[in-house]
Amino acid sequence: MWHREMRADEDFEYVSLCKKGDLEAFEALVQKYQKRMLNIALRMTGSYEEACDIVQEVFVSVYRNIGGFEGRAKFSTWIHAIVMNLSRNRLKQMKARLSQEPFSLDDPLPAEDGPLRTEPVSGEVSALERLEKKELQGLVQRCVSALDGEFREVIILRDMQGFSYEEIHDMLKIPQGTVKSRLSRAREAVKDCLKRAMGEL
Amino acid sequence: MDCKTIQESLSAFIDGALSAEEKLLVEEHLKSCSKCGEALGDLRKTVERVRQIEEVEAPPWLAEKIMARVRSERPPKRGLFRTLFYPLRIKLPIEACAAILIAVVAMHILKPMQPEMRLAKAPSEETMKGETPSPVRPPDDVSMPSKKPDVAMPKKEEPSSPSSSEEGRGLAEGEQHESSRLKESVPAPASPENKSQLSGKTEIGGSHAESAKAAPPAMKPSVARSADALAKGEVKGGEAPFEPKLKALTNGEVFIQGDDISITVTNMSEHNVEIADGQFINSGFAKVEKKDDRGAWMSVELFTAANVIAKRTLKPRESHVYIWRTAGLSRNGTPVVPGIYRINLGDQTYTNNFEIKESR
Repeated sequence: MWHREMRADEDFEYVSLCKKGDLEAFEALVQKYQKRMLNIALRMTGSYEEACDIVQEVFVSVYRNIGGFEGRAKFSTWIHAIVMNLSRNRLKQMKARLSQEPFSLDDPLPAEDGPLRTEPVSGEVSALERLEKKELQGLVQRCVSALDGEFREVIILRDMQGFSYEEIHDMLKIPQGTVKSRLSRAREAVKDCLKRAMGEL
Repeated sequence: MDCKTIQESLSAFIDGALSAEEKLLVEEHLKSCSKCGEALGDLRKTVERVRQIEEVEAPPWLAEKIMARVRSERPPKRGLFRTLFYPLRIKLPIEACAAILIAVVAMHILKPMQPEMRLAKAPSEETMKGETPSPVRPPDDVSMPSKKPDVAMPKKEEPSSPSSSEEGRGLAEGEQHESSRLKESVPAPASPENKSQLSGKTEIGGSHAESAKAAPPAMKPSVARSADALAKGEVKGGEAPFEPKLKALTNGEVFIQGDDISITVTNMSEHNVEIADGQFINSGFAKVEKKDDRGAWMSVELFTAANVIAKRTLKPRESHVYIWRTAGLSRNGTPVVPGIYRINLGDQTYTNNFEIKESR
């Protein structure tokens, strides 16, 4: 929620070990953050393959540059900022590639899910309900994907990943007031998109 | 406040990101405006829907691939710990070389002072030279060198130097003459105190002379230089030859899908190497790589989890055998795809390439 996060970095210890070349500590950080990073990259690019690739690139880059990480921002903020940057670049490349193919640029990004997506299996939920749920989720995803980049970014970070306004401000290097207003517009846009598709929420 | 302003604040209101004052204004407005209340409800539902989007799991190979890439990036560097705590067998020769280096440097430093030293402290100068003949002399002859420096040093300037045995004779012959020549400036060296001092110094000098291979005096500078170079070489060499060197060989070059492949890892270096302890190739320490159509090596997804890896020490020439069970390798549990493979054990250690063929 809206409060200043404690500046103490929970990853400080592992990061210090990594700087000394401790690969096990590095692997612990990989295990800790890969899922979150993957999901951000997936929602940013809409491609599971690209997202996996981005996560790899980010960690290799983090490994190369961890010596220069001074801890002015939290480690998690730093790596997620790299994920965001790389995802943006990748998206540009993907669009450039797409433009050379006979598809419209206006096509919504494919919001495909990864092959390892785990569906919670519950006996109480009927197959139909599950299908409906899945369809609804697909719709929400399409609405988010349809947002312009700067709006999509804040909604991914805030509502999908639960980062605080301050963390988003640190990651995207935009003022907190801008985080607030972009998020407001992004949510309104998704709301309108869903309303148009479903009639009501 | 109008509805537009209120509705723009609703997003921050949901997050509790409004100031106390703003929050109060919104709450007051909501009490009397059903339209804005509806807008708030819709926005809440929207946020809830977005939050409910399910997350995907990271595939098990992702961390493996990252770690493989990171390991391949890592310069094979020794830790400070291991540098400091080499086994004695390695450490002692290094220290011996260092001692020689110090000795050689000391000789160089002392050299410019020699002319004065020779005259003023002839016996000590002898400590370097006296070694030459001493090995062939009976022990009671230790007092002999006491006079020789006086004679031997001038000879140094002569263009050609006699061999050590000739010099020994020459010294004996010229002893009388030379010592008388230097008598004026050099105090008589053969007093009992000087003798004992000398013999002590000779012992100390022993290690120096050994390093110089007991060369004749005129040869000393060049010998010293080469020893210096040698010592420098040792210093340089000290960095290179102690890298972990593992050899990894499979028990054949052609296998059939589902075979167990034995990988014998042997420590080819002169010092202990740490390897992963275990019987089976584990994705945590080894990567199975397959040649793709373009001839590039691609990591194959191993299905085992990358656990915390126990280490075992491999002594020089010692071997350890791992097994790669090719059955049930792929994510779907199907046998390994036919092709050319190798196993990457990290630190640039690879097995030979081997082929896996389709089982009939």
